[in-house]
Amino acid sequence: MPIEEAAKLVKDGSSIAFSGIHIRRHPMALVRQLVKNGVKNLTVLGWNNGMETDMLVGAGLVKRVESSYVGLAMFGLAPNFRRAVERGEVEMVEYTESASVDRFRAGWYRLTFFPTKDLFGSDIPKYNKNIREITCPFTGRKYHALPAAVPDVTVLHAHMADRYGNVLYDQRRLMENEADTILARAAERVIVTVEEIVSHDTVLSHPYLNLLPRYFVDAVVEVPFGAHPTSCDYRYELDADHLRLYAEAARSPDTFKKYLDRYVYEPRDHFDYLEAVGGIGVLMKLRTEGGGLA
Amino acid sequence: MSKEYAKDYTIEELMTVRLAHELRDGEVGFVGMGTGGRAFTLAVGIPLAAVGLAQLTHAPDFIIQSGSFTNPKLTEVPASKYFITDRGVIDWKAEAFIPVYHPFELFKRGKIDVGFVSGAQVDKYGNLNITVIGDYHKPKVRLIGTLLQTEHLTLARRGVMIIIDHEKRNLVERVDYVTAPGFLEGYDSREKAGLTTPGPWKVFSNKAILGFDAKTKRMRLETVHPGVTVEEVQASTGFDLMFSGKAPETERPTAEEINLLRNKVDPRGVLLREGP
Repeated sequence: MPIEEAAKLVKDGSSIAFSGIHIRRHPMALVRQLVKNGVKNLTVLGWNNGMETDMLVGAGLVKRVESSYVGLAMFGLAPNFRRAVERGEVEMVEYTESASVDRFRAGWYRLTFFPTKDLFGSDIPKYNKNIREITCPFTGRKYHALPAAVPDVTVLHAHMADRYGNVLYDQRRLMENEADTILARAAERVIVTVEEIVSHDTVLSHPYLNLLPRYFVDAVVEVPFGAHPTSCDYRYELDADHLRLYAEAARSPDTFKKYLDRYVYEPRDHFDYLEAVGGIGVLMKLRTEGGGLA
Repeated sequence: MSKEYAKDYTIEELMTVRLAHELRDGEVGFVGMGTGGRAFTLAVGIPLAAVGLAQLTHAPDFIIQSGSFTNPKLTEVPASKYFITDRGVIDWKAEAFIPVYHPFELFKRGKIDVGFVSGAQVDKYGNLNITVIGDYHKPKVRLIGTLLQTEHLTLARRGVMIIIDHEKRNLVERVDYVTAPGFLEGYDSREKAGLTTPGPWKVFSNKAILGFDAKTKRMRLETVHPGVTVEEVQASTGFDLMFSGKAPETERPTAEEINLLRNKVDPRGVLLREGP
């Protein structure tokens, strides 16, 4: 389906989760569409977040972030996010990476909470009032209960899907992103943007690459270079020049507004965006040989 | 046989060699993937180089879980000063490449003996902060968050802290936020908070090696690095250090250890010298 239509699944006030970590495999094309649509009061649910959250925060669309990290890895702290939290404009609800994933597990199992022993002694339960102490009915041991995370919508960027919503991942991929499908299984609705739509026969021949069968997926959108400027495993590397430009622009609201004008509002569509960031010449340099089914 | 000490070594190499001596054969350590640049050296490079040295010397069966990688080939670490490519990571040779959340489960399962941490603030009881500077609700500086640092000190058997800038702003009387608990308020407060693991083991800084007093659990000066005085260490520390009289000098690396580090463990100079 067209990206404009898929993005409508995200409404004002939605909670939303994204694939990827810091500056890797985020569904950036869909995120830019959300900025264009101007959906408001979003809650980002995550475990390790980066550019996708920073952009939405910088566009003023986010009221709360529940995660363990929002940053741009080697390009530094996430400037929009940092400024918004320091000014009290965005609420940050703290969990560890492990506790965050446990919350999605609870959501996936449709449990209301997940027990953990990870947090004793830390200030995380002290400042996060959604974490409560519980007692094991069998042993009397103390645990913390983490509230389940059930995103209204989870948006993934993946390598391939057929038109039924079967999502194939390249065998050679980053296991650092491997939590993506847990975030999808927990969600009410799932949008998957992919590098390429493949035939149903391709899926039938490679069922072992299907990490997210069709019953989890509500919308599939074909968006080549849809993770740009973040990376996409063995398909393409991150665009370091563009990420530097982004990190610099995000340092003040004025320069970030200009960034959004140039790279989000003005491009007519995703292909126009790809032209704005340098077009085929730049993209081919980022490409990695050897991705896909080969 | 008397040891032949190296005449020429960097402070990072000294820290690495002393850390290597603390790693025991058969243990499992965990370190995150890091993000490139100086933070990489700090959080990842020193522990990985220490593991490499330990594996070549006294602890061949020390296992390192480096992010998703089990015992990766350290001489081919896919990092540089600029960035870590996806392709470099995916192609990294290792015994296993496991989903990112499996290491979280290793911590819960009790499989991690040594967790390596570093952060913006460490206090006199070994509590660690990487979350905020200042009041939590009105932060002066919002830092990166939590990541998996909490579990390194709540679930690993021994927490090893790396501090590459031993300064008053990093070693503080009391952290602004306890991202990962050390000994909390000292004495038995860690156990009372429900923690069952021993907690921080040692602190390796660019000026000294520090441990924790058995009773009070306060940070305690063990050795000062060659060329550094006890007074300098105290002047760079935001709380009164415990130490008994004159702290001895940190043992220097041997010529053989430096040779191994430079030529066998980190021949490309990625781990300890901020990339090629």
